[in-house]
Amino acid sequence: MSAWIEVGHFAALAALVLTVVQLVAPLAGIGLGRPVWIRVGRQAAFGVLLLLTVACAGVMASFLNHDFSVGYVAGHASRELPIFYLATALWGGHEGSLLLWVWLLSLFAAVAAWRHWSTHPLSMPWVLAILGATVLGFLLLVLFLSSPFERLFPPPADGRDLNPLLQDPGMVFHPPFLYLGYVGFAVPYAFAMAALITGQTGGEWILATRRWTLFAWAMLTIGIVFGAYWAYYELGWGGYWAWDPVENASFMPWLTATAFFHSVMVQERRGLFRTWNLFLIITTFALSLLGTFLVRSGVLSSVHAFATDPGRGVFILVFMTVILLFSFGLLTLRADRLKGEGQGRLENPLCRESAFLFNNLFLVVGALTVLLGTLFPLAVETLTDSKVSVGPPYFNQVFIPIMLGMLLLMGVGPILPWRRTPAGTLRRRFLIPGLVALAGLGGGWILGIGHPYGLAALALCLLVLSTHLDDLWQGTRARMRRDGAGALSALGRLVRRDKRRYGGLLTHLGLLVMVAGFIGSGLFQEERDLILQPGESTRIGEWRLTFTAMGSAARHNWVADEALVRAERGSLVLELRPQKRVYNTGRSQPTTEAAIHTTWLEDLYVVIGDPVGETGRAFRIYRNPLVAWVWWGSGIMGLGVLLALFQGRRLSRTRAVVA
Amino acid sequence: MTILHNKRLLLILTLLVVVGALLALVFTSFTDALVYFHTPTEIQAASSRLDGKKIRIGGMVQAGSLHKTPDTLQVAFLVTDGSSQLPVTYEGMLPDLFREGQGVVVEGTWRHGQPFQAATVLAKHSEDYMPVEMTEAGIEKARQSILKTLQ
Amino acid sequence: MGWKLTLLGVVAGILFLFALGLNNDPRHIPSPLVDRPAPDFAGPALDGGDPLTLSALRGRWVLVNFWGSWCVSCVAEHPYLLELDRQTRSRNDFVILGVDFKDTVDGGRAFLARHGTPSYRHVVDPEQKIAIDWGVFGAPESFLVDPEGRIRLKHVGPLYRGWFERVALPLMTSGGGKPS
Repeated sequence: MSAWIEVGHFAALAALVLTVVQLVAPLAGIGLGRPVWIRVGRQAAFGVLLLLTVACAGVMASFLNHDFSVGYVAGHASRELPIFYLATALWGGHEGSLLLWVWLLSLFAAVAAWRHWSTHPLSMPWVLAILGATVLGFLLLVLFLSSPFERLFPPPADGRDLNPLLQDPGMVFHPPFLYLGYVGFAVPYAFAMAALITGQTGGEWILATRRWTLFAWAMLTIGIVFGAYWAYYELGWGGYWAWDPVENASFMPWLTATAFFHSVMVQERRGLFRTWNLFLIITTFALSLLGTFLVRSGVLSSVHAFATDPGRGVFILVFMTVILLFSFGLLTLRADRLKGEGQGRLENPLCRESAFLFNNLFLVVGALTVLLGTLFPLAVETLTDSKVSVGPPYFNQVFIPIMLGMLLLMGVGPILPWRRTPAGTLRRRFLIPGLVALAGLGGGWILGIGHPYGLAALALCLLVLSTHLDDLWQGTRARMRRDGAGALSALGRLVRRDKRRYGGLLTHLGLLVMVAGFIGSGLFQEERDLILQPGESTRIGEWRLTFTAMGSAARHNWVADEALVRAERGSLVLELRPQKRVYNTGRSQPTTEAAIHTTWLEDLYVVIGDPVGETGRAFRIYRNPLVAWVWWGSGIMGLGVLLALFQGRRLSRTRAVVA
Repeated sequence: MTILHNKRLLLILTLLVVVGALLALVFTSFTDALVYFHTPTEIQAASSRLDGKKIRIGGMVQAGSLHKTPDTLQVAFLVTDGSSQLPVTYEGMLPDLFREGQGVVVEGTWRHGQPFQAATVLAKHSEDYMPVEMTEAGIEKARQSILKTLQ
Repeated sequence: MGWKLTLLGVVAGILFLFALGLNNDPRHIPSPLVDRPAPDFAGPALDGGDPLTLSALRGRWVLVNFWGSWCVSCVAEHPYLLELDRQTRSRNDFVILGVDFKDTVDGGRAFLARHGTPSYRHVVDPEQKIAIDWGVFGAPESFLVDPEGRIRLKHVGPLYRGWFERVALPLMTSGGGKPS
C-alpha cells in the first residue's frame, strides 16, 4: 500500500483552492485596478495544471502499483490486467474520466493563459475567471460526488478487473478524443464571454480562438469517428451509427461548431452575424456540457441509466443551469449593444455570405432535429405515462435532405465571390461543374442507381469535386503563369500562401469521401439472413460464401464457437472466421464477433447465429459498399484541419483589415 | 436602388422558403417516426385503434411458448405481461440474449385481427446490469449491444 | 425583442425538463408481477441448513434479492445489503431473503466469504427455476413482497444507499398490506 493516492488527493484539494484564486484574483484585479492580481490569477492557472497533473499521476501510479485498497483501482483493474490497460484505466470508469476531463480543462486554461497573455490583456482576466469557474465546478464534482481517491477498508486482495468489453484499443482512445473536443470549446467560449463582458465584440475574440475551435472540432470529429469505427468492428450489427442519445450528444456540438467556424468568416470579412456567432459558440459549449449531463445523470432511461447517481445528476444540472443562464442571459442583455456596429447588410442571395447563411441554417436545423429527437422521448416519459422511441428513420429522413443541401452549398459556396456575383463569373465557374454533375446524374442512372437520393448525392458530390478541383486548377494556373513555375511547385506555393482556405477545401473533400461512404453503406447495403449446412454455399454481390465447418477458438479470457467460411470472388479465396464468444469473467452472455473483409469498394461482413437442427447454423451476411471510405474521409478531414491550423493569425488579420 | 431592394427581397424569400421546407420536413418525419411502447394488455384493449401503426410491444417470452419451424429461421412465441398474452411471429436471427422466461421487446406494424409479425426482436436486458461506475465507453458498448437488436 | 424571450424560454424549458427527468428512477421498472401474489418457492439453503420457503415468511415484508457470484454489479450492491441487514436485523416486520441463482453452491459461498456474510439466508437456484418464475432478467434484481405475499415493487439493478428509507419504508408504512 503506497501513499500515491493520498498525494493525488491532496494535490486535487490544493488545486481546488487555487482554482478559487484563479477565479477571484483576476476579478479583484479589475475591480481594484491592480494588474498584479491578474498576474496572480495567471500563476494560479499554471499551479492548477501542475497540481491536477500530480492528481492524475497519483491515480495512475496507484493503478500501476496494483493498489487495490483504492476503491477506484479495485473496481477497474486486476493483477492480470496488461500494463497498457492499467495505465489507461484512469479513464476506464466514471470518476477517473471526470478527472481526465478536468485535467484537460486545466491544461487548456493554462495554455490559454500562457499564449494569450500579452496578446489579449483586456480579455485575459475574464478568460481566467471563466475557465477557473468551469474547472471549479468539475473539480467539486470530482472531489465530493465522484471521487477516485477513496480508500476501501479492508482492501481486497485483487481487483474486480476492467470490464472486458473495455479492453479494446479502440475504446482506450475514444473517450480522450471526445473529451479533447468537448473541453476544447471551453476556451473559445471563455473568450466569447469575455468579449461580451468587456464589450470588445468586434471580432478579436474570433481571431484569438480560431485555432482552438479548429483543434477542438478536429478532436471531436476523430472522437466520433473512433466510436463509429469501433461500433462497426465490435458490435456485429453491420452498421456504425444508430442515432442513439449518447451518439447524438456528441454530434450536436459538432454541428453547431461547424456552423460556427463557417459563419465567423462572414464576421471577419463583413462584420455581420456578431450576435449569431456568440450564440453559436455558447450553444456549442452548452451542448458539450449537455453531452456530459446526458451521459452522467441518467435522465435518459436507456441502458446506461444503471450507471447513474441522482446526486451527480442534480449537481451537473445545477452547474449547467448556472452556466446557461449566465451565458444566454448576458447575450440577451448585451445584444442591443452588438447591434448597429455591423457594417452593411446582406443584400444578395448569390454571394459567399449568403452561402454561409444557408450553411448555418442547415447545420442549426440539423442540430435542432437531433435535439428534438433526443429530448422528445424524455419529455413524453416525464410528462405522460407512455413510453415512446424516436428511431433512426426520423433522423435519416431529415438528415439525408439536409446533407444534400449542404453538398449543394459546399459545391457553390467556396467559389462564390463576396458581396455579389456577376453573371459572367457565375457562368464561367459553374458551367463545367454543372455539366459534370448532370453527366453524373445520367451516368448514375445508366449504372442502375435507381434511388433518387443516391442519384442526387452522386451528382452533388461530382459538383463539389469539380468546383473544388477547378478552383485549385485556376489558382495553380495563375501562379504558373506568374512565376513560371512547374505545376506542382505552383500548387505548393498556392496552398502555402493561404493554408486556411486550402485546408478548408481539403476538409470538404474529406467530407465528400465520407458522404460517398454514407451513401454506399446506407443505401446499398445488402443483408441476408439464412441457414447454412456445412458444405452449403450462398452468394452475395460477387462473393460466393461456403460454410465449411464449425470449429472453436480460445484465448486466456474467452472461448468461442467459430465458423469457418470460405469466401471466393474470381480467383480470390479467403477464409473468414466469425465467432460467438463467451468471456469467462462470469458474464455468461455470448458476444458476437463479426468476420470482416475490407476492400476499397466494399466490406464483406459475416456474423453467426444459433445452431439450427443437427449441424446447421444461422448466418447473417452483409455486403457493405464503401464503408471504408467513411474512415478514410475522416482522415482526410483531419489533414485538412491540420493544414488550416498551420495558418498563422497574421494573414487572416490583414485580410480582415483589407476587407 | 430598386434592384438592390429586389435582391434583398429575393434573399429573404429564399430564406423563408428553405426554413419552411426544413421545418416541414422535420415535423412530418417526426410524427411518422414516433413508435409508442405498449404492453399486450393495452394492445388488446386498443387493437382496432392501433391498426396499421408501428408499435413496440414489451413483455416476457412465455415459458414453453417458443416454437421454431425446423430448418427455417421462422419462430413463433407468446409475449406476456402477466395478464394477457400476444402471439408473435418472426423470421430471422434472434438476438444473443433471447430466451424463454426473459424480457423481450418486439417492434413491427400492428394489423388488427392478425398475429403480430415482428420486424425486429430485441432481448431486453443483459444479464449482468452495468457495474455502477461505468465509463462513457462502457456505456456506449452496452448501449450499442442493445441497440444492434433494438433498432 | 421576441428572439430573446424565445431563446431564454427554450433554455429554461430544457433545463426544467431535465430537472423533472432526474426524478424518473430508471431502475424502477413496472413488472407484470407487481401487485400480484408472489410465486412461492422452496429450495435448499446456501448455508446447508434447513430448506427455505417463501410462504414461511408470510406476515412480514420480504425483500427477495436475486444475485449470483458471477455478477459484477452484485459486488457493487453487496455493501449496501450488509448495511441494510445490520440496520433492519432488529425489525420484526422485515426480512431479506437472497436467491443465489445460476450459480454453484461453492461459488455462492466463496462470494459471501470474500465480500461479507450477512445474517439473512439465501436459497440456491442453480437451474434458475425461481428466477424464471419471477421473470428475472438478470442480476441483481430485487422484489419487495408484502405481508400478504403480494409483490409490491420490483427493482432492477443494484440497490443503492438510502433505497430502504426512500422507497421501501413509505410503502411499508402507507399502504400496509393493501395494494394501493
